[in-house]
Amino acid sequence: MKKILTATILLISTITFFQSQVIAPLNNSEYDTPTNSYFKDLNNELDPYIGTWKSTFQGKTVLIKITKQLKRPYELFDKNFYKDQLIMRYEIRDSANKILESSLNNSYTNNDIKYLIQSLGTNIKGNNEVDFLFSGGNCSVGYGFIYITKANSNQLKWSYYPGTTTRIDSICPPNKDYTIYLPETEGLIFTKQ
Amino acid sequence: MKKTLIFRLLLMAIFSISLFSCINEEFTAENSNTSLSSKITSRDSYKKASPWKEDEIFITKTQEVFLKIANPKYVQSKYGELYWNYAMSFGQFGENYLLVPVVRENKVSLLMEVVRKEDKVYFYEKEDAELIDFFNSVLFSTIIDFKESFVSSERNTAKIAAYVCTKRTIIVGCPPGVPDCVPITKTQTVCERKEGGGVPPKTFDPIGLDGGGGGGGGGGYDYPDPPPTDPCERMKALTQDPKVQNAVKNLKEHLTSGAGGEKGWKFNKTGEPTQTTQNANHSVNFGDASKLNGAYHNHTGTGVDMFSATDISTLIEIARYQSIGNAGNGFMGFVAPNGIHYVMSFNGNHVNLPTVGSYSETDILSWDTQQVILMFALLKNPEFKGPGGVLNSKGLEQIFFKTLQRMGLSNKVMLQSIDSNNNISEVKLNSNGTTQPIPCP
Repeated sequence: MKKILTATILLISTITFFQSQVIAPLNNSEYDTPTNSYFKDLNNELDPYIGTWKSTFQGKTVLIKITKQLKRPYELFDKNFYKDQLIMRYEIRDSANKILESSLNNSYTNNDIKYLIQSLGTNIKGNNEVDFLFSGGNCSVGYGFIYITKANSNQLKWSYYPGTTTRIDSICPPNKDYTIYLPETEGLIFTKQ
Repeated sequence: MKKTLIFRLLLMAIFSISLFSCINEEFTAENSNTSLSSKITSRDSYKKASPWKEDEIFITKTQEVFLKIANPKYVQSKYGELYWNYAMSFGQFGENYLLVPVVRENKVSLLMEVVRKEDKVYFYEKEDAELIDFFNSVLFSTIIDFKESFVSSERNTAKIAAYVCTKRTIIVGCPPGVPDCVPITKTQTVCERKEGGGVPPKTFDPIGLDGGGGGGGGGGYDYPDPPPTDPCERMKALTQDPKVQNAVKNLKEHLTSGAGGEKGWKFNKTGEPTQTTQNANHSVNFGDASKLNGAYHNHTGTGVDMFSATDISTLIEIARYQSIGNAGNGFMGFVAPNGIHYVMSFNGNHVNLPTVGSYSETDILSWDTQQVILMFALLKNPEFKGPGGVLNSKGLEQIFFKTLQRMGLSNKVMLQSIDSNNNISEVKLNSNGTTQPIPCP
């Protein structure tokens, strides 16, 4: 009797737990989805982009490393969610091989998301692209969208659209670097390394 | 013979004395006329003689108020002559503050301090010896150079909202007849007037109320047409200001020109509006917020077409450097494709402002990022999608108010939208999280 009771309690708890977490497709709207939902890459749309890719732009070498992180927590509409995401780290070197900017060693485990490039979903533009958000550098300069599409099995295309920022001296001191180093262009080809 | 000689000498003496008197009278009269015409304007219309930019509107209107109520003989007898042409607002605008030199026996002996509070002006005696000496030099010395700068100071180490001071410098050259003297530099700093605490200032009495009489006095005098405090009226005045109209027109033309990129306009406390650097890393640099009354820029439509957390932080700093009681006069505006045009202003007093340094770069970057994440999410919902698949005004305004909430500024920043016919609406946040434009009357 005691065993039956324990098993029943366990069963109810398990059902309740899995019912409380909704697994939703990657691109479902958070607006209509209950809190604690998990936007999962059910169709493995993100996997083909994982890896190290390289390109050159205006004399600079651009290296990007894309990894996949499962169930990354975030908050929206006063609700808590989880999402499978691609995280992009990068390094840009000039023609003399000097590093201009690099996020390769950034862990992004604390609150500091400067230089973070994270996927928000796929196909918002209707081009079967992955939609990335770049948080920007100093004072958010350069923050905006990066859209990546597969050119072929060995290459991908990059398009980057920085948004507008403003700054004043007391918040954004003039002696900081506000250069946008990421390639601001459309259709740049990166080759898998 | 002797009598004739004496008589002739006497005649010559009389003639010489007469001649000398005439010359001296003419010289004296000419001198007096010169000094009167250039300096004394107790009753004449104000003509700026101060070398710096002053709040001429406030000086003119205050002089009108003063001349209407003052007993000139009483003022002359008790204080001296007010030299309105040399009145100085010391970097404060918005029709709030000025100092008028009072001259007796050809030197400034006192300053009349004028302060406006809403629709009343108050006159006080200011007996600051160093400031009086400064005014004496400005009025009666040969100025060979002058400068002005703004400095901010914090009241104490707890970094309570900073207030703004204006520092003026003059270099006094050699007086006539002394060609090889060493020029003297004189500097004076005047800060925004603080309310409360300390000894109350002594009233400057223009009427002679010592012996009684009613009206005005300690209760102030009626000030005509004070600047609007109602947000709708204030915004109407702003949109009708030719300087703002020109900047907005310039930005809208830039949007349709195909040139791309961002432009910005700074509405400086002194001088004309100036442009920011153009098309530099998609970042519009407004520089020193203490020198600004407002700022405008354009978005290009590639990101979130709404004020970012960075923009809101900038507005807070602009508001901080407005004169006390006028934090709401600071503004920030932007235009974007598809007819988007918003302006925001601070909806409170200086005590309501976040303390200096409240927002770290990490915080601001995080909030800016969250704006884009929210935009991406809203675009999945048809309710927030406008023509061309971009976020509509409902969605943009949601992003704004959510950002305010994250920054601890709910109900502290006012958002107004302006349509293509310059009709202004205040955008309100409803309790259910939706937004609603309330047209201004």
